[in-house]
Amino acid sequence: MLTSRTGVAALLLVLLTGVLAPVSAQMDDELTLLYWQSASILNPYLSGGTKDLHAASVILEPLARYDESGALVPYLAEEIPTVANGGIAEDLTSITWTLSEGILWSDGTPLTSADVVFTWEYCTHPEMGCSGLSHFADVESVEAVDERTVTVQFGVAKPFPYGPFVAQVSPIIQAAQFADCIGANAPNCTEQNFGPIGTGPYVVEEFRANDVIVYTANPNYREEGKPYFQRVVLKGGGDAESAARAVLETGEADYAWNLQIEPAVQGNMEAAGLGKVVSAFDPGVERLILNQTNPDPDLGDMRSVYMDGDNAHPFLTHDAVWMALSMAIDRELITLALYGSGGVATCNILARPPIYASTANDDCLGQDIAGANALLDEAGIVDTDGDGVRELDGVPLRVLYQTSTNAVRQSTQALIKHWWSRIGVETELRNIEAAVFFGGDPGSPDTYGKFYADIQMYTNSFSGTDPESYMGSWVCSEINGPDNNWLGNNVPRWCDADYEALVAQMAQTSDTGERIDLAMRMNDMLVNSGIFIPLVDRAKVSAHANSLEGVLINAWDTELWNIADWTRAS
Amino acid sequence: MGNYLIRRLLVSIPTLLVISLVVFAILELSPADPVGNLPLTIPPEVREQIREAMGVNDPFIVKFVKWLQQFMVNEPLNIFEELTGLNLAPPLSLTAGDLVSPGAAGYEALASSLADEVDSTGRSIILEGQAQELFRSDRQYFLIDGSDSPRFLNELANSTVGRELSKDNVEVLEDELLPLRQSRLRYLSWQTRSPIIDLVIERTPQTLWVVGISYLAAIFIAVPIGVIQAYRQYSNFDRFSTIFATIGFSVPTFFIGLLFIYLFSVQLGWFPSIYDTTHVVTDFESFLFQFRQSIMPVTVLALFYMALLSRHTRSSMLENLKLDYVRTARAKGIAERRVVGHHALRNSLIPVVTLIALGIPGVFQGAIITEQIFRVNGLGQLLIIAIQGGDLPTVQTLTFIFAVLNVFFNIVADLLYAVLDPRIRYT
Repeated sequence: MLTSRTGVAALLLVLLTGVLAPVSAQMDDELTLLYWQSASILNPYLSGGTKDLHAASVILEPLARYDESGALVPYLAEEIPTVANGGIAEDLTSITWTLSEGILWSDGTPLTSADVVFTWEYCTHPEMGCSGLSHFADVESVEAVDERTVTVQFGVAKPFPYGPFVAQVSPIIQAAQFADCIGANAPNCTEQNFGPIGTGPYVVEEFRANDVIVYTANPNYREEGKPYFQRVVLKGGGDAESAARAVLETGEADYAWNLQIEPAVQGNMEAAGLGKVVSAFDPGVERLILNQTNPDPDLGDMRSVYMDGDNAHPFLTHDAVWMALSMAIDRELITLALYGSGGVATCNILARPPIYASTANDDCLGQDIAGANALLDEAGIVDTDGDGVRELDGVPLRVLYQTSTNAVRQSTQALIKHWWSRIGVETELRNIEAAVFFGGDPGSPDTYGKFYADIQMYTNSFSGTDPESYMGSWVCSEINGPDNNWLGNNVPRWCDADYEALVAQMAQTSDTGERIDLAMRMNDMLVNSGIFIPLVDRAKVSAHANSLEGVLINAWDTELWNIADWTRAS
Repeated sequence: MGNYLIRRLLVSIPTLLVISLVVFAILELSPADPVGNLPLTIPPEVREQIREAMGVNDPFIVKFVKWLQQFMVNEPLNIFEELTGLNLAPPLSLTAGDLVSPGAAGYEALASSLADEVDSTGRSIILEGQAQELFRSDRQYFLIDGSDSPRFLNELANSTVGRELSKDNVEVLEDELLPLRQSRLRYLSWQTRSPIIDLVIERTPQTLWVVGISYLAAIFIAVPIGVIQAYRQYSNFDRFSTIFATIGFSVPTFFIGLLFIYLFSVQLGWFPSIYDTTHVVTDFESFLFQFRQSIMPVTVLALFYMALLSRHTRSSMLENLKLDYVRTARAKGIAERRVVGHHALRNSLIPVVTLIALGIPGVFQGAIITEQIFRVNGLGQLLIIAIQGGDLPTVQTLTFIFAVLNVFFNIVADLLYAVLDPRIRYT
């Protein structure tokens, strides 16, 4: 009896010590990535979500990527084609890439130009619904010149021809693997979409959609002795704050992506000393968009419809009003209190790459409520009926200000509402679930495209480093309205012939200096026409363990772009 | 009893159909867009094409019929085939007038070999007399058109685009040929583009392990606590347990969960705060790890269930202990242990067992918030992600599966009631 009791007690003790042993530190050759938004699919052409692009980017590679400074570096290509080295035709209508010699797919077969051609055919199939389609814009044909050479022919002159096959959004897929998956059949190829064969440093060992991905090192990877980590686990789920905690406070993970958390909380976590927060600025700018058309519900079908300028907003198009709205905002305070290392105050719509950033509008950085009040008084926009709200031609300055549901955005809204109340503008706040707000359902009144509000706020951006297509968003033909199912790019509904001319000019200009000059002029026009009030130039924020070396956070491409070079400090 | 069961099962079929229609109709009204969470760098016209390819814009009735067909017919057939190894799908054959998309399902070669008739979108049209059955051997595809011997079509194993095709006849042994079957369309998620049933099957184990164990643990702890509480009403134990149950019931699981993580992961470093769903138990060591990573989520959930069950056991037991048959048993001199444990307990458990049975569907639904906090990515988290991502097919399917479970366990609870209580007889 005694012995059996001692036995049981001993067993319990063993169990207890086993259970209570401290959580073991990460294994030396295993890397744990924490993505609180988990990857759903590993085929970047069927998703387009950043989390999925990142997860696929360690397997599938493009011909070239952007490095952390935004410069192009060859990946599968031998070098970056330029006009100077003959890779780009003099008339800018074609670009010829040469694949590096001896690159193998992870299954051991050679990568050829046929795979590149196939990738184009795959994505541009009319029944496919390819999320990367816009990167093949204006591509007329992609031809394999020989085993290692491929020429992309454009229908128009392309001053910046690095759209197709560049960066995380447009990697090369294996023709042999995806041959059966063309067109409408693409989503049915679950096996391929969950385990693409790639040329990158890792191959998929296990994929659980929206949960976890286990990668192992690609035995056929082109660089000898890389990658350092033999196993990578990409875990999803949870929320940003707990992801940061797992890297910075408990050390359970090596890298956590996309951490928009309160600066104060982040500071406390970093104090634990296990890891650090890193950030990189991409072109994303959080801005207010001012509706140039009248969103009055009484207008019925004509709500927020441009109607060739006949349906102008009753007061937001008045210069004094939008200027006062902008002057009343303390961008530095918003940034300091809500964004921390995740943003800097800006007065530009085009804030990155830094060479494109205009300095002409920097006055907006200082808050000037007295000045805003004076401006409105001067313009005769005063409170005539004593209710604390100013009127313009009898219309009170009452605005409906909407954005997506997100803690930081709601705090920003609250601050701005307070400042605007001090200049006699009454603000009604509204927030809408992201999947609805950014959705395109033409029947929904709550989408950003329909813009049934006076002012809305979100971040817009562009991929890569060239702003041409981004700056081309605000042309008259892109105005959202019922005729394009509210699916245009010109959400503020602004139409300006001079701007249009600059857009056309940029499409014809290949000189980098001139392009920068044009882009800056367009930016200045946008912010001085009162259609945008830029607030915060946003950064991507991630965190990594101190023991993880080689991380170079990249805002222009996948954050995992150089994962093959990551190592563990001994 | 048998008749009753059959009747109940038959009634549940129209019930479930109505439920599925209602679920569909309500979700159809949802303004959530599956491409709403994509970066704004993807232009609106491309988003529209993605929606089109997903079938988002199909009319409601088309979607519903598609779902009925794919979920109620195709998926069960697939499962049946997988279990039996039979293949019930009709062989694939082409008849005059069929269109063959270039590249679709590997028939690119077929399309180009018949390329003299091509429609406006570049698809080949099968002409009269070319009607044929398609066969496959390894990775080669063959046409059989009656007169010819098998025609070599396509070698996919080393296929590259722009390959030269040989139309020469190839000798193939007749029995190596497998007729190509029509692939059965499966019900796909909009987010993962994979069959939803596979996602459900993949996620059920972790939900059952974490939520199921906490449910079991709660039952085994709560019932004795409830019994003792009732037997020693107003004792210190009763008071303490009541306070405990009130806390367990009223403090939200996300609060206790975060508290646990702060205490045991951040401060003490005892348990991992991230649940590893790929972990496989092979030996004692790995079992210990599984134990450690489950302990926090299981405890949090067990606390909640326990609070509920112990209260019910207590009140039911209290009621029975006051009844005449207990007094009679005591008067007859039956040992107290037997009076409480045998007579009173058995009767008091009737409502509790019903309650437990009715709670089982909840186990499958997973405790959504707890799964989210500890990253136990089970069925609850699948549902939440689908809702956030506007993935209506997944939400519809999961909601329907939960409805089926609810209906089923309602029947089970009713049957159990009859088994436990001999006074109740169903006819």
